[in-house]
Amino acid sequence: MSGATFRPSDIVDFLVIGAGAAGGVMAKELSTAGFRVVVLEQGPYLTEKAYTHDEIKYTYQPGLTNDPKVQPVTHRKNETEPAKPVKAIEYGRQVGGGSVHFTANYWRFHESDFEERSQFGDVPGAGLADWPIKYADLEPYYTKAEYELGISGLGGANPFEGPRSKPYPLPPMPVKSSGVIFDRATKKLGLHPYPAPMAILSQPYQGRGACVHCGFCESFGCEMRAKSSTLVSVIPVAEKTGRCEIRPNSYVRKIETDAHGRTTGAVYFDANRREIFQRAKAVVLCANGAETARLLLLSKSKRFPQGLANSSGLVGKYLMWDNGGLASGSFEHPLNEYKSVQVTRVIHDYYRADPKRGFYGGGGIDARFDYYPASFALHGMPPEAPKWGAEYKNMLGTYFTHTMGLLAHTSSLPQMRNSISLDPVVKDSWGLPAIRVTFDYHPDDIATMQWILTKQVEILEAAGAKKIWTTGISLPDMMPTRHLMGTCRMGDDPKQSVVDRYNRAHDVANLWIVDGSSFVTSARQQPTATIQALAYRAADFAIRNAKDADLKR
Amino acid sequence: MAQVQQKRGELFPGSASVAALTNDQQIRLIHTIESTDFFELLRTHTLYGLLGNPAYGGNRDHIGWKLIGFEDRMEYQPPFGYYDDGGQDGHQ
Repeated sequence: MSGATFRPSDIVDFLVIGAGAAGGVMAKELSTAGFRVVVLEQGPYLTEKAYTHDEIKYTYQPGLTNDPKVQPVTHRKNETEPAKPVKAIEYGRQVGGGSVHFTANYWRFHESDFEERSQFGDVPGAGLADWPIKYADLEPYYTKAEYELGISGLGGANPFEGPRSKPYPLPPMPVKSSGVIFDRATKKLGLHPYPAPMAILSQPYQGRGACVHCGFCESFGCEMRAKSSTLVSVIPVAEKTGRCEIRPNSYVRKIETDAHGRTTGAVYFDANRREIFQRAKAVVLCANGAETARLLLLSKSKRFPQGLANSSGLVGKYLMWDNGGLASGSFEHPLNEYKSVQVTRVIHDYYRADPKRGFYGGGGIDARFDYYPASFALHGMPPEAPKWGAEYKNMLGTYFTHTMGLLAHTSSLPQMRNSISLDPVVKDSWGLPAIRVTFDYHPDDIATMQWILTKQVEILEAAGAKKIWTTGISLPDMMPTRHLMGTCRMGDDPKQSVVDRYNRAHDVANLWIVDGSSFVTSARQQPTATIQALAYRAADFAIRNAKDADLKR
Repeated sequence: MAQVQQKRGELFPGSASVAALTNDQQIRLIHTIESTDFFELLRTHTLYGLLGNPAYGGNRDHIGWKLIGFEDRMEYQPPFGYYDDGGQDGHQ
């Protein structure tokens, strides 16, 4: 909280909207390259001093996420249904965004993820497409992200991953009981477990201390600054340049454009709900796959009647979901899985889509435990266990320390009918149209989740679990989705995509859109590493571009 | 709430309140309402009270956390459990 201060009338070089996983990276890259940057963040500027282990506050109230009471969200499965208010999506809402409260899984996409349409072929009912870039284009930026943010892992340990130019900067986190059990069982089945790559420091790094294994990662902000959010890694670097202002509590309602169709800045509500217009030579939109699409649709003008950057009509389309079911197992001895990071071992053996299965899809599986005391008592017990009474109490006393889960992270097919749009009726507390989510699974999404669930159960059986149970994969069970992918897909053809291969809007020369929205496919979830690699790459291009002519008027 | 009181009156004529029932009577009463939304809400808030942060007034002296084996420390060091401590899985 020590950066520059600009006036709204100052025409800064870049206005970044959203200070999350991507916005933080963009702010750092652009400001260290010499540009003047203002970052508008709708949430507050919190630090580790504000974070606690309070489960009620962070998992049952929107401590660090969008609050449906002020920002309602509606959902419908398809266009014929009325959309009903439900928290269908969730995103981080403070400086650092989702990188503050995420579980910190940090998977690179595979080489095949960028060309699945060519490799697998067409999938009826879906808009499966190749990315305009390849893994090799992103590899240097994955490496850069891993080193600038601080990622722990074991390079080369995942035999299915693409080639790496460098090992991880930090060794993997110590293995937990779930990891040991998973490791043994998957090897018995001929599979290839490897240490989970995590955005959490296994050793001191760049002035931050190592993780102390308190266990409150998922849904929580790290009190030790050991989780490698943008809040504690790149944002302080941006502020230190003296050229970057992080402006919290700034809720953007419109990106403005001039007569030439170029952006001139954005109008936002400040903490006192006053409207302010911040001027800029270029805008970088990093508001996440839901809010980015909404803001473009809200930024309608005479020149852009369908919304900004939307000549293709594809803004908001091809929304993808955070798919994957959970299988749980209880064991004879205590695992104490509530201690330390959620995940320590992963397999990618079922990652690749294979036409022989009769459906498109695949996934990774990790060994984890992402319950806390109250959430385990409410949702973590076997379904046939009593819900109350002496027997329930007895079981709780054993199961909390003796249970682990295997969570799948599976493909979500891009379908044009799944979208983010403006709700015609429901408004947020600023009077702006609420996000309307239209989403339903593709049959192959369900087939993949069911198929992988049998693998999860098979692994728990091989592990000798005393009891095994699974949770539902129907849509209400899978809400809210936290991986907001698609809605401004990347491509070379302006008629078929919203941004180009460098994340610049096809329609607006000085607008970059950098977050999960540009994903063409979902890969196998865990999007943060790819969001940040794309941000480093987009920044590289924006810097070169700006130094030439594009930002001159 | 009114329905619960009505149920109590039907099951145990002459009883004064839910709190005044014996343990066995309370359990019988709860069985009659356990599939209602009201019970689900009651259960949820009871579990928040039992296992949530003591700052909210429940979970006194960490009694809920002790029950389930949650230690509530800021720092742990490996090994965390039996299986990462060289313990052998009995099913090997």
